[in-house]
Order: sequence, then structure tokens, then C-alpha cells
Amino acid sequence: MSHIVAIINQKGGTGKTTTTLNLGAALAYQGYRTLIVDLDPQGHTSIGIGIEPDVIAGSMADIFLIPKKRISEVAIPTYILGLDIVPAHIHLAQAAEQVYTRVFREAILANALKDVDYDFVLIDCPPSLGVLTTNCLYACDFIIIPCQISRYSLDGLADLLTTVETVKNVSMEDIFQEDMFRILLTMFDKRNSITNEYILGQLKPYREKTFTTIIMKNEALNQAQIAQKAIFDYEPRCPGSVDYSKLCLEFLEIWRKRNSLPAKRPSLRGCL
Amino acid sequence: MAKKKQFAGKKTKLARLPLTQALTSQAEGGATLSPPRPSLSLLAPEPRTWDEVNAGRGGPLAAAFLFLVRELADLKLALQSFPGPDAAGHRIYLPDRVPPPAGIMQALHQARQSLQDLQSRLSHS
Ligand SMILES: Nc1ncnc2c1ncn2[C@@H]1O[C@H](COP(=O)(O)OP(=O)(O)O)[C@@H](O)[C@H]1O
Ligand SMILES: [Mg+2]
Repeated sequence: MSHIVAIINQKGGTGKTTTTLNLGAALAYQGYRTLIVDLDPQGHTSIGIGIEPDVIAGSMADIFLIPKKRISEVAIPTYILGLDIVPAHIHLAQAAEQVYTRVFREAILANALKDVDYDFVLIDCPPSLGVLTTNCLYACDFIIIPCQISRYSLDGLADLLTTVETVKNVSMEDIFQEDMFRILLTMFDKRNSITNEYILGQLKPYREKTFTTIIMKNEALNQAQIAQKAIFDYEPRCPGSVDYSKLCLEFLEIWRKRNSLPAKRPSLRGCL
Repeated sequence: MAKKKQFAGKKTKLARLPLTQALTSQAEGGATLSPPRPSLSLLAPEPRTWDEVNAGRGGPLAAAFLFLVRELADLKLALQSFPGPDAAGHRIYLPDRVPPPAGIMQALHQARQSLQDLQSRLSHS
């Protein structure tokens, strides 16, 4: 069974796409078979990894338009070994609209993902809490919430927790206790000390649900999107590359704990 | 007026959330959150672990890979006192999950290179 991770915050520009792409690449480089599902009709993740939405045969829109269409039929490989993607096309927005008439519409993605054979599936969500995001929440078993240091990112977090409660039909306290989400601070700029202090203060009750890894503001991450590459291939030694590698390791640690997997085998690890 | 003072009394949506309030009061020594319902396990464990590979359930390629890594580890232990350049550059990394076939093939290729390096070191001594 794949571990399905949603990357959500309905506020735009909080680093969802950057996180999906670079965490996905990091997991693949660690040897995990990883699938990125681009659920944003803008297709930024697809473009960011070098896929041109206008020339692809299938996309996420097919999943919502064609009953029983499987994810494996529309997933394509990226330039990174072990990293596949289901691209998004602008048609996805319209497809999602049409879905409103279907019964049990929030389960379409979960059903399509049922038989996929990956270690991790990362779903990049659009900046809204519509039917696409609901599908994502229904399908996922872990949520990463990228938050920029701004007041409205906090609102996004609050709205999201409320939505998760409804879609998953569990109380917010259970969502907290069951270790179902992590907040990821992104685009952190040390110089903005007053805002930082305020936002971190607001997030204090959620400290144990916040990744200790913080993604610093780093222009190379912006440039890598233009180059259509993961940060590790664009500028391997830049701060953004280091931050996303750290995030990957911390994410894997949480995943291990969630699954009660035994600790790594120290006798074999790094022994050669 | 000091900038920060102007934030006083401005409540965010997050601060008004019942969960936030419960967490805050818990931190201040108030009532703790109730434990989660035991049935709510949303993450099922994955099958393909190294132990399963060890038991022969990961297919022949994974088994060969694990065998080779162990043999090389033993070899390295035996050669620890061997003089010459540090072999740290030829690390073989055993990921904690079984990699896909392509990843295993890549690692086997790496192992072959390590053995070739070892051969040349031995022939130069
Ligand atoms: N850590 C960072 N440092 C600098 N720029 C970043 C960083 N993370 C993201 N960006 C840039 O900020 C913009 C918004 O990020 P993006 O990941 O697309 O957000 P979202 O998907 O949430 O809308 C993009 O132009 C991206 O390149
Ligand atoms: Mg985006």
C-alpha cells in the first residue's frame, strides 16, 4: 500500500508546489518509488519537473472525467529515476466542475489510487478548498501544510483543519493526536523579526506538529522552477537543497514512527 | 506606538479554533486532550522490508542485493588493517526500504566498481 501525502494550504504561494516537487525528488533519490499527483489545474508541478501539459496524452482531468480510469494509465516518468507524475492540465478545472453531479465524488481520487504501486504518493493541491482538495483529503493519510510567515497562512491552516475534520469525519483533536499532519514553515527570512516572532508565537500550540526543518528563503528555489529541475539538480549545494534534503529525512523518520517500523540497521548502514 | 503593541488583542482565525484553545489550556496545565480512538489507524504498514527480503519474500534480485552488501561488509571488516587509500569514497548505502529493481541494478553496478577498485589496490600492494 502506498503512503499518500497531501500538500495543502488553500492560500496561494505558500510553497506547496516547491515542496511537492523537491520532496518528491528527494524521496526518489533516496530510492523510494514516488508518484507526484498534480492536482492544480495550473500544472505548476508538472511544468516544474519538465513536463509540458499541452503535449501529454493523459492527465488528472481523465481521472475525473472517465469512470474507472486508473492512475497507472496516466502516470508518466520524469527525468528522475523512480519519480513518476500524473500531470495536470488546465482542463482539470472544468473536469472538477462536472464532477459536482457525481455521487460520492470525494472518493474518485482515492479509488483511482487504490492499486498504485509506489512507496509514496505526493499530491500537490490547488489553492482552494473545492472538490479537488476534498478528493485529496479523502485519499490521503498524511498532510503537509506549507505555511509562509504571514497572517493569512495561519487562516489557511485554521480553515484546513476545519475541512479535514469534515472530510475525514474525525474530530480535530483526533487529527492532532493521531499525528496526521505537519506544518512546514517556508520562505523563512530571518530579517523579518517582528512578523516571525508573532507568527511563531501563534503557532506555539502546534509546535510538536511543526517540522523542525524550516525552509529558508532561497532564490535558487525560484530559479530551479525556471530551469524545470529539482533543486538537487539545479544547485546541489545551495541552502534550498540542504533544507529540502533535511525535510526528506525528517519526513521519513515520522513515517517510520507512524508505521512503527524498526530503526535502521546500523550494522549495515554506511558500512562500505 | 511600538509596532508590537499594535498587535495586542488581534486574534487570528487559528487562535479562535477550539483545538488551539484546548492546546493552549493544556500547555497552561489545564485539561489534557482525550486520547485518540484506537481504531483510527490511517496508515497501514508496508510489506517489503529487508527482513522479508531476508526471508526470501522480496524476489531474487533483492535477495542477491542484500547478500552482496553483507558479503562486501564482511570483506571490508577483514581488510580494515589493509594499508592504502581510504575506501570511504566507495560506500554502498543500504536504504531502509527495498529499492525498486532499477535502484537495485544501480547498486549492483556500484558494488562491481567497488570490487574492481579493491582488485587494483590488491594488485598494487
Ligand atoms: N524557499 C523559497 N525561497 C524563495 N522562493 C520560493 C521558496 N519557495 C517557493 N518559492 C517561490 O515562491 C513562489 C510560490 O511558491 P509555490 O511553491 O509555487 O507556492 P504554491 O504552490 O503554494 O502556490 C514560486 O515562485 C516559488 O518559486
Ligand atoms: Mg502551486
